[in-house]
Amino acid sequence: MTTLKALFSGVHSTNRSYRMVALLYAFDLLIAAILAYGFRSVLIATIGDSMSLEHLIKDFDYTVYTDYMFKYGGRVSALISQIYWLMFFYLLLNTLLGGGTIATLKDGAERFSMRSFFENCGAYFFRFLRLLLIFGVILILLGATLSAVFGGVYTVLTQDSVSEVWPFSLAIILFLLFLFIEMLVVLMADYAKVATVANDATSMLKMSWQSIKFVFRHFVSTVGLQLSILVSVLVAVIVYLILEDQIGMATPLAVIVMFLVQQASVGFKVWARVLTFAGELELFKKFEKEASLPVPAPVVPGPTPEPVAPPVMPSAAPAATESGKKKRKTRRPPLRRTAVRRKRTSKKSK
Amino acid sequence: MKSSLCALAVILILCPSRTSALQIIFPQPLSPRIASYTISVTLDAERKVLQGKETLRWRNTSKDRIRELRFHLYLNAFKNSKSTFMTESGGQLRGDRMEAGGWGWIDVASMKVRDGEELKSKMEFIHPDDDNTMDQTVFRVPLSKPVLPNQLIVLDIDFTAKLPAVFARTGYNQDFFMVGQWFPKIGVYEPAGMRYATQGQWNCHQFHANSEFYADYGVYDVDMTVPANYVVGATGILENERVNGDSTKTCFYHAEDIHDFSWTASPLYKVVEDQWKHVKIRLLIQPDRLKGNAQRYIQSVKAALAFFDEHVGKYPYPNLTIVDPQWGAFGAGGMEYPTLITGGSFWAVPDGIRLVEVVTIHEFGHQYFYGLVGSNEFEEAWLDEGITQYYETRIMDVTYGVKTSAADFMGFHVGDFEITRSGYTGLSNPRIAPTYANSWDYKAGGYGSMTYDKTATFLTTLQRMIGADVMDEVMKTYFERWKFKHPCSRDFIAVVNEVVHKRLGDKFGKDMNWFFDQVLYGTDVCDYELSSIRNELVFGTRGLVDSAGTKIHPREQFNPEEGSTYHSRILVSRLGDVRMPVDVLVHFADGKEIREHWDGQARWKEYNYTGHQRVTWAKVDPDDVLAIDINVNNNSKTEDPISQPIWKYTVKFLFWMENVLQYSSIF
Repeated sequence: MTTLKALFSGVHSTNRSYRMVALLYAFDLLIAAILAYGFRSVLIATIGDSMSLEHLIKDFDYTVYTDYMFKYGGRVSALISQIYWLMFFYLLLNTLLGGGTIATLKDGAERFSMRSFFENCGAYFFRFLRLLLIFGVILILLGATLSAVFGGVYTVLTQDSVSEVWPFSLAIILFLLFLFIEMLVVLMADYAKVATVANDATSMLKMSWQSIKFVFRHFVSTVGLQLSILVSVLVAVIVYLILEDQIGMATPLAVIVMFLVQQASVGFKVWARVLTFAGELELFKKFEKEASLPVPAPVVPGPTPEPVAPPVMPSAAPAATESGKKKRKTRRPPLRRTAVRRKRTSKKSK
Repeated sequence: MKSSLCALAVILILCPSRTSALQIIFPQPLSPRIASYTISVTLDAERKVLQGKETLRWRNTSKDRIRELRFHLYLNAFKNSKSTFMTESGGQLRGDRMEAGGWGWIDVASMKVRDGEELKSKMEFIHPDDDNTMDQTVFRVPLSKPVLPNQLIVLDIDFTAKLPAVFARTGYNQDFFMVGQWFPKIGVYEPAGMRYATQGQWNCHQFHANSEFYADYGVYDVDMTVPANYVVGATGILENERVNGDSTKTCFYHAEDIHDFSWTASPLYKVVEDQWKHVKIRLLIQPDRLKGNAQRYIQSVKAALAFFDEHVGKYPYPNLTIVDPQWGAFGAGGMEYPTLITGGSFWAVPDGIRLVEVVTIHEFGHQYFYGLVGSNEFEEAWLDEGITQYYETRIMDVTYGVKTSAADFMGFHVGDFEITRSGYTGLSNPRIAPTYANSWDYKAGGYGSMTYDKTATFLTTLQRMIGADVMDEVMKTYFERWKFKHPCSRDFIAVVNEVVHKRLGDKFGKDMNWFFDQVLYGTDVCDYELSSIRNELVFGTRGLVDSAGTKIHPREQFNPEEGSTYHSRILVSRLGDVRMPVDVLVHFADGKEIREHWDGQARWKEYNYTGHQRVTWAKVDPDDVLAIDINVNNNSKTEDPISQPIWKYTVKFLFWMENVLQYSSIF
């Protein structure tokens, strides 16, 4: 239930921040478009006036493709090699935009403010960069260790196999396990970011450690949320593949339709990424709130009350008392509380 | 009756290992039967050792007096790291590497002429190819008495062989055994006039990394004693199987008119049997692959049998065994032996990835080219590998579709010939080596691309030039003329010249030598290009002309009712050094087309047209005859660029890049 609540709250937050989602999508589109434009230019310059293109209208043609790559592969490779630089740049860009994204979700403002968004991007960039380095190192070291361990396990368990069924099955299991463990690291990195923004923290090592503890402490909820979003992305990919197979790109209209479908697919993935942060933020706030509620103090017995004098029963003759005054019963002294309050550490952001 | 019983008793006494009469497959021999073997072998499955007793009957069919014999001991290629095979290959074949400690060898324990001299002490290892004294794959024995013309010599040879851990065709993997090239095997004596021999000579090469085999035809009677729970498959027909008392069994096989014998044994095989006309098909397949792949093996081999029967000639043998190597023994896969082939498959390979079919059809093709037409695989590998590859692509494309035969899976498709052609055209240096070369002479690489891919590509080009029916007649003639013999490249070209001339006259000149000189013996590449199209509006003379006493520009004389006049120039170029006759198709705006024919000799050719329609596009080699042209994309040009595919792939590229960027930034 916690996971579902976080998911639905996250959906609500994400949808409310649709302008931000659009902005993030625009960044993705713009950077990819730079390369795509270069690719188009290379195609036109090299094969633009060849009739071989007829073979590519309806379908992929292996011969046209391979002859093209054998002749002009160098030019395409030069373009492709720029992808690595762009990937690195995009990684840094995402690190920058992450702070603004989470802060916007946290603030939950009714109207998206570009200025506020980029201010937050700047405010958290170097902290997120440190998190990127910390978790990047963890990911690489863990990946290398897992590869070595799993490789050894695979070799030992399959060396006498006479059929590929067991090695193949084991390889899939180990690969999925590898991916799951790496996904946990990415999840921890996400929560470190969320915690940093939520608490405006400055110690990234501390946040990293806390996020690791947080994920393990709330394993089912955190992993459940992540997997549910991943499943939705996977479904979207499958839907895209089905549409691509059905629509094809054999006519100009089909190319336009597929372009729209593709961009919708990309947009959905951007939305899902924002949803991931939103859901994680919801989960984090919920569990942190539960953790910050005051703990009921233990009861400390008070001093033994003096014995209460038995009430004086009124005689037949009226007693001489203050007129109009009733005698009050003796009240027990109040219990003492020794509550422990958590020290507030959050500061309001500037 | 009593005499018959006595005769039977004599037979049983003299032939203790065979409890039934020898089966005769061909009442009339199909081949010269020069080298016939009778071998008894016992497999020690624990130690991976063979103990064999061999009787070789070798007939001297030449006119020479043979004073020495030469033999192959192929298994010694795996004896140590210094053998020619291991030094050339680096301990691997087709990507499969030898397991540490998996050495193999073969020793001749004794060798003597029946009722004659002892030869073991006279054995001498020789190195006819490379002077590598560590290589022990060929030995010679001099004879005190020469073998006279037409004389038969019988040798009794005892040998011991240790099988290697399989990585290069033969060997073991746990309890799986694929036993090939496993016995002392006599070389081929080529008398003067045979192939390239100007005088009688032994043709007995060392075992090289790239080489395969060469031997004479004969009759084989082989019995193998193996553990009783093993399933056995072998060349030839199983005559008898006897269970022995010591947990072993002995299988008796007989084969006629073949030049090699291999066998396999494993306790895991599942047996599937089927029939195609007169051919009994026996598939030995791994248990996990039975459900998904058995019918794929059977259907593809039937397609190959049918195709070869129709287009080349009859498969004469009554049997064919297909072996599916187990996991860890794929080095034994994709190999051919007479009437036995090894395939290759995996559990759960989708139907659209035609790995099983490609390998099966290719290896079956070798039954014809190498098996029935016994070319020399050492010296002219293209005659078996290249011709087989040509037929593999032809059969695959006919059976499974030109653009889908190799793969048709999840939207991706590719034809088998497409892949084969790209194996040659995609070389970074397609001039790396000639196709005609000794298999061990590809020092800079290129053996596979030249012998398989380039050969299949130029044979396909030849087929497209002369027509499929003429090509079929060429191959049928070659097959019928040279089956059970040892042809060379010259013999194949002679058949081509003969049939092309008979069917097409002088259409391609007096012979086709010019074709083979370039593609087989040469290293040049073929690349024709439609270089340019130019359409110029014509207004007649430039400058000024007199008209009614005044000087005007010719444009002022333009009569719109006549329409524009274009002067169009088409330039076709020969970028490569291979010269082939080629057509040029020119298309005009009104749909009219003109087909020109160019002899393809000069570096360029220009075509000029004047008319009211401009040229919109032109293609050189419009019918894709020149499969060997290394670049099809420059064969055409259009004045009206086709933009839809450009946008299609730009949009796809954009999408891929967006996804790559997203996945790269998971943090």
